[in-house]
Amino acid sequence: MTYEQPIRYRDDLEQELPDEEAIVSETIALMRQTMKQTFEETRHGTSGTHAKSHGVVTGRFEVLPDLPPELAQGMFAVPATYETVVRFASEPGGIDPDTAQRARGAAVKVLDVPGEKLRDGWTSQDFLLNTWPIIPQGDAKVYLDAIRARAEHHGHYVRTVAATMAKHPAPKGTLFDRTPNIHPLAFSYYSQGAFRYGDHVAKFNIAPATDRQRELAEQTVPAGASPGILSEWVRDFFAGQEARFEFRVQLNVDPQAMPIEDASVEWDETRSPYRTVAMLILPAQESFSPARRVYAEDVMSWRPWHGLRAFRPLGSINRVRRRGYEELGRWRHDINARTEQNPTSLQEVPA
Amino acid sequence: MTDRDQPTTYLRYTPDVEVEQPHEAEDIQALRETFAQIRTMAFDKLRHAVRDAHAKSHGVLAGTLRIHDDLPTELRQGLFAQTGEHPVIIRFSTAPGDIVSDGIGSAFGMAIKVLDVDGEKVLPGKQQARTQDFLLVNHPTISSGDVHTYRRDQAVLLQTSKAPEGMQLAATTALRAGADLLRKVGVDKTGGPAGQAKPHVNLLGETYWSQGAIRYGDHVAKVSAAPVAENLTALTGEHVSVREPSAYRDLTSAFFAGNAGVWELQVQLATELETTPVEDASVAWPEDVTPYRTVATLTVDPQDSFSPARRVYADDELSFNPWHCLVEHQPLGSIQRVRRPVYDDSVDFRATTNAATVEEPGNIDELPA
Repeated sequence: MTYEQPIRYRDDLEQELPDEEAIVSETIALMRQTMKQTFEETRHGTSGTHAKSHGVVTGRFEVLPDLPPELAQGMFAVPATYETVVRFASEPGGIDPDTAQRARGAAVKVLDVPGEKLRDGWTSQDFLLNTWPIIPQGDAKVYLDAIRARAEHHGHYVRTVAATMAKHPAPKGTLFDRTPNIHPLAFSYYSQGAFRYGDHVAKFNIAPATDRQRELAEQTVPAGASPGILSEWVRDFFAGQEARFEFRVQLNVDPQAMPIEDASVEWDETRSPYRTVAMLILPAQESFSPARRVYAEDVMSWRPWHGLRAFRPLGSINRVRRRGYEELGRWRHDINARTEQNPTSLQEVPA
Repeated sequence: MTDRDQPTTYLRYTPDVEVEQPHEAEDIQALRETFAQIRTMAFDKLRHAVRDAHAKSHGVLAGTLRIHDDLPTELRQGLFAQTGEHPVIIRFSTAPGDIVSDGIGSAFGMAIKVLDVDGEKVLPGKQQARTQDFLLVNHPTISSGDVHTYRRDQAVLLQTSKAPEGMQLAATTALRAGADLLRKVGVDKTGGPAGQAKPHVNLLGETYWSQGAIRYGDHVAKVSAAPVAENLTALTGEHVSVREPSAYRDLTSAFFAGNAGVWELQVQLATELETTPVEDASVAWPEDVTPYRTVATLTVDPQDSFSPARRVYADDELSFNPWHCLVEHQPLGSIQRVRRPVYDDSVDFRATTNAATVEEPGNIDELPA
């Protein structure tokens, strides 16, 4: 198989929005307001998005050998096996019953990755992935409108969606609410935004790699199921078997057709398919023990900017996440009187 | 207050002031299951384990309890046998076993944990806790005065708490309006087992009662905490507007940011089981026969009553339990007996689910600022 030539990474692939700093500040302020409202409803600080866990699992992240040069970048330059912690969650910043159709997330933290990080002292490479290949609000300015709708219509999901749609009546606007309500281990999950990929630019995803996981896509959450059914399903799965995902990258081959500053545009997989660079292997285990859930939700943090300089997040939707995750994460840890800690080895992760 | 007008004889405590109720074990078991359901429902909604009763904190305070000297013999009992000062932790709360908007009417709780209390405790343990708890509610009696009635009422509450919060809000608003009308014509029906029809009043002006009886050394008593400082009594009966979900937390924080508080801890001694029954906590003991009499003064200085560290400590790591007590203050009556296993269940669930350690404080310094 031949592939189109990937573009080379350059700093000027990114274009800052007019007033971007103000947009970022307003987004963070509104999200903090929503988090405070959620806190008053739960009396416990939760994440601004992806508040509800469905399972937290540990395992191995195995970089494949013999990758072609365009894929052998950053931490994928040499074959290696890393420890990893993966959290499956639902996208909203509130605790919705699992019977509700919501985008789901998979956050992958690869521990103790060598190489120059985006900030000194960081040790992991995090990948924050969502069930959809795009984010309907593809840049920070449009995203702010969605966040504004969430803040104004807090607790009223339908009104939030309606307000978002009124502003941006694209069919993409309701994408997250049309997520098939299937087993969290049956989804592929995507980075949505673009990232530097060493010499190139890429998006990431993980795709189920066992038949058992793929079969689970046939089964949807039944009406009347318990509000925490997804964590029960994930737990039942890991009680008896391992899960595997292929970790894949989609290289940017055309900056016009595959924009970096607009994450609402899906990159054409016929021009540049997702190609496997690593295997994510999650052995059978207890995926929802209290100690592990609390550690993942209250102590740890997964952030797109926790990572290598070689994998710098790109585009305004990623730039808003730099300050966003940091400032809102700090608020969550403060309100829960917790000190943020991230593991450098799986020994630190409770069973 | 003088002792001249008091009856000369008070009921003497003996184990047979308590009478096991018909089917008590079965009712207790049913209640344990009801509360287990309440806990699970709340966890599913909050993804954090909270108390199955009095889940929502409005403020947590450090204070001092000064036991009065020269108490008459019948009041100089148990904790109150020795004059002196004890540090205390106070937690204000509302009754539901879930975090709901303050707009939903409910009874308030004032839980007092007295520290540095020596003496034999009721709960067994290698190292006995040095605490004595008093769990008080802003109504002198509990309408479900025995375990059987309590079982029935809690089952109803469980069903209503399954309703969407908007409906609960509308229902309690209607209840409150109805009760307000009745109060205007002189009928006081607080309405509902959890006090849902109580008007929105300032919780800091309220008097709080144990509702159930406790052993009081040689005697049997009910306990109350009544505000005595003018800044608190000025708030008694004050209607407050509840627009914010945590309006009561907000007004508690605002008050204690600049104000001290003083309450009197009072006890009402039982005289004989006919008029001052132990097994039916729905009966108000006649105050003309046996009034509440002050045995100690509770004071708190201005402080931050809701810092994150303090809230987390009180919500997740502390438990208030009428059974944290001296042998001389053993809770009495079936409404108290049922609380022993239910509180244990609740603490176990909270500790396990939140992966937290719930322990009795060794000293007041364990309460974060």
